[in-house]
Amino acid sequence: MLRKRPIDDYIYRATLGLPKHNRVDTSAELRVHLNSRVKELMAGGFPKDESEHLAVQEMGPVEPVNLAFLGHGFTNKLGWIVLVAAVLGGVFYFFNQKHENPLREAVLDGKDFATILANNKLERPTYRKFEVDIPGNVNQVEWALIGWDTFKILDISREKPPALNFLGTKVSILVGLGTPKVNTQTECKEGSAAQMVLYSTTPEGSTTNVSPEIICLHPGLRPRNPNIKSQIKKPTYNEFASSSIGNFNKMNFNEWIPVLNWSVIDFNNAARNKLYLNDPTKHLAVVVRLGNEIESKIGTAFYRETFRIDTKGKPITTIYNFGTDIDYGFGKNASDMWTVQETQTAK
Amino acid sequence: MDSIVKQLDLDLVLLATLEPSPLYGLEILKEVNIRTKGALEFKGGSLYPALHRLVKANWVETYWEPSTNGGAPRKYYRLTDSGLSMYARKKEQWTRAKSAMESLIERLTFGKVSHVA
Repeated sequence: MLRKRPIDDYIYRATLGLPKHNRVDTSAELRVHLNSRVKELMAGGFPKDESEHLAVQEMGPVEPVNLAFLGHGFTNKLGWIVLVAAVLGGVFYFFNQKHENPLREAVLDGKDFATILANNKLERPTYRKFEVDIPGNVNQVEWALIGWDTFKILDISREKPPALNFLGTKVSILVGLGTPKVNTQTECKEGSAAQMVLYSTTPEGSTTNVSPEIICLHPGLRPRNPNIKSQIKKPTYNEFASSSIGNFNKMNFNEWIPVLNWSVIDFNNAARNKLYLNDPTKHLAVVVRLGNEIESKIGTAFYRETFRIDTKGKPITTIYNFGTDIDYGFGKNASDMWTVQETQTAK
Repeated sequence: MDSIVKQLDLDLVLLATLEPSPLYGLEILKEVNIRTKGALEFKGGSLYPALHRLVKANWVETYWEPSTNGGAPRKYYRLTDSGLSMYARKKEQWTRAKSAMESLIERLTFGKVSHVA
């Protein structure tokens, strides 16, 4: 095996990583220097191999020289390993920390109270606040009101996270419990009753305004069992009991996560409580999911209904189904996501 | 010693060495050795990266010239105009620092002596 001359080895290591032209120039200069020293040492009586060894020795350790030429240390394996590990670690941290405990209950602050008091629609007896970290690759957030026992969507709201950039953002949601101070006739369509108000806030410094969302329940969603006779009524404050089921450690795309649930309790009629178990309007929850691409099959179990009265005073049920063959992609109109089927349910 | 040169400001050492005339690498080392009577000496490994830094800063420029004794051509370094003015500035800073250090050391020696006395 051919052994590299110490001079060649020194020059190779000292100039490693330099741009080609710069490396050739620097190598030539170092070689002239080292060869001149070898000549001088040989003239002093040293044999050639010892002269080469001494000339290189006089230059000092090669690593600092290479570092000084480059201004960084990524010419050796360790340097690259450190760089790659740091980059991978950073990427891993970025994607994971965004999903770490993304949904949590937060404390209402003065600003929230000021917002509530300043807006008639938001005036509610009780508020709970939740925060959701929205990763940068999410392009839509959906909040839905569901009947908890049957997991039917009663109402759904979609919003594009405001001020979203690739680093993500944070959205706060206030959930008001109790009867909203809104005009049901004007705020809710088709005779449904306003049940709750959601509003989301954007991060500090954002110019986006608070956007209240009135969530209405449709009277037609009362028990599907025809033997159960009940009528929609606006629950009073003391008919609401709530419990938080937030604080999730991980949030997968397109997966519904419960934020808050509560039940409507009729204190005056204990015997009817049993019936409420199958009543989607009696056990309610707010759920949230983050989306970048929703698979078409994910919504097949969900539907919603609305009721209206036809010209002869007969109720017409409109059922909106998620179809498995519908491309439920974001960016389309909400109406594209539903198939509509109208049925005359009453005679 | 390399460490002493670092403390003294290697840039000033090189600018001072190149001020009278252009020199190539090995000559610079020898010139420093001669002009400081062997008190300052640094390794060739420290020299070239420092020279390259001065070139980048535009204080020094280079050119290749054939060897006078028939050997390989050599790369010479000479001060530019901005190198000359930088040298003047650094020299002034050094003179002030040197004078300040001298008075400090003198006062310390005097204080120590008077205390002992």
